[in-house]
Amino acid sequence: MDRLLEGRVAVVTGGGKGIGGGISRALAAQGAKVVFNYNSNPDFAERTVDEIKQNGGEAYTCLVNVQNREQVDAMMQKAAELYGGIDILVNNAAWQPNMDIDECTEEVYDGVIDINLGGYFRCIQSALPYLKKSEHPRVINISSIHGKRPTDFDVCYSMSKGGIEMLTREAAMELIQYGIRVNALLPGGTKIEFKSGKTQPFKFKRIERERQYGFRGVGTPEDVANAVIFLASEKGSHINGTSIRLDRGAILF
Amino acid sequence: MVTERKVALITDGSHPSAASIAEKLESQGITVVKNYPRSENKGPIDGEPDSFAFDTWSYEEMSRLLELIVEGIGNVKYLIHSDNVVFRSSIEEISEDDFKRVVDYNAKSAFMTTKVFAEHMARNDGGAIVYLSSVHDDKPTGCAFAYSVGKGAVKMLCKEMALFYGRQGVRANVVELDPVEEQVELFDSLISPYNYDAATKIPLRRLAKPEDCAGIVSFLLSDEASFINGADVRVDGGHLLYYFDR
Repeated sequence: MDRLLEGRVAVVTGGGKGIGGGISRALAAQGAKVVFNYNSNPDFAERTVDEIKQNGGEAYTCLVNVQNREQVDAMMQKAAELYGGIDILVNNAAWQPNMDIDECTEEVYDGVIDINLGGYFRCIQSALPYLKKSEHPRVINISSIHGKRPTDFDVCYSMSKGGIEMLTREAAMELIQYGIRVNALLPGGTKIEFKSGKTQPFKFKRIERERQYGFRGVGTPEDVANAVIFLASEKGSHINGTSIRLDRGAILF
Repeated sequence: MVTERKVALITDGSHPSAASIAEKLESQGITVVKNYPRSENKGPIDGEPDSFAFDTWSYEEMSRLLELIVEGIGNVKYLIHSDNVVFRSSIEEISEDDFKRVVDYNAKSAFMTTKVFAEHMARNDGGAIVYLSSVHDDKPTGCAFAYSVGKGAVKMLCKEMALFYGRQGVRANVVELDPVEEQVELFDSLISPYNYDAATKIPLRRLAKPEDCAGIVSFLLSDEASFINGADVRVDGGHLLYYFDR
């Protein structure tokens, strides 16, 4: 079967593990060359590169803090040097401290907004010169169901996701002049190796998760990756400025 | 028995709607305190009763403001977050500093004023918050993206607060005002026709006026709205109906 992203170049922030890892592997499996950064865990990142290479794909990883503009610029430049440009930017790196407003300090607020929201803005601006030259430019912002529904345990996180909702719409409107499509994905609960932040407290007794999420429970990084592939491919070219819920309809229950 | 004064804080007294909201609340016997962020001299404003100049995105300054109000005026029962800073720039051209500054002015100010004043209200018989926002927390501007990013964050802050402080007797709601006449130029966009010919597109055949939201703000703060929590109320004459399906 023809691969959907043959020859494209993708940059994935936080693409070494978790949802980002699934996205990197899926992009590579569809023929894209993938550059992704890590900030906390080189082992996961190296493992993801090895896995992609073993399957005949191309990937490169580097230590980049999305809060640092120079490092972000260097990553975009490296991607362009290695593979000849950038076609797809997947903004994914995020911090979820799981803190209510009474315990959330100014420092935590600044950090979450600067990583989750500032990082997405910074990467779009930094990748823009390359995306403008691409024939199939795409930006895909991994947001969260908490861009629509409050978390009840992490105020800054959902503020950042509410901001990403508007960043996606504004970018879609402004950048379509260059043919760039910008969309957001809103995953619900997703099973990953581990999560950042402290364990989520539950404030009231929830109905059992089986009933809440239908019969299968939470999603996987592959579920998110499938939507990324669709949006990045030609099949997704008429979709712009929208956000797609990836939660198996959990929000409706 | 002494009746305690009810005190409302308007976080940015320079918002176009601040005067009409203050007038409406004062007519109901509420004492209105106005704050003016981004002022050079910090502290109480000389010659103007119940007026202060503190930066709303600073935890330290908001804590100081709370202290001064409680000492000199009384406990705060109502918070109206009215910080509204529109900065025209494209995603392509804005500087890092401007982006951060605009998000701080619009969103961090909401977070910090809420953090300080909602906790105080929860400890003192509850209260209510209104985030005076814009239709641009939903409809992109096409000319001032950092502003709508900030307002999008405030929309989620309100929902979180409606849950978290709702359980402690503090309600929170958002009012989304259409650009008023003097703001229309600020939102002039080469890529979005939203504000072109708005007065003829809006079904009610006129632009929003600053005083258009005074009624709903005062209602949402009042006991008549005691079961309204976490809602977004659009005040736009039906303008947004052209752009979104809900």
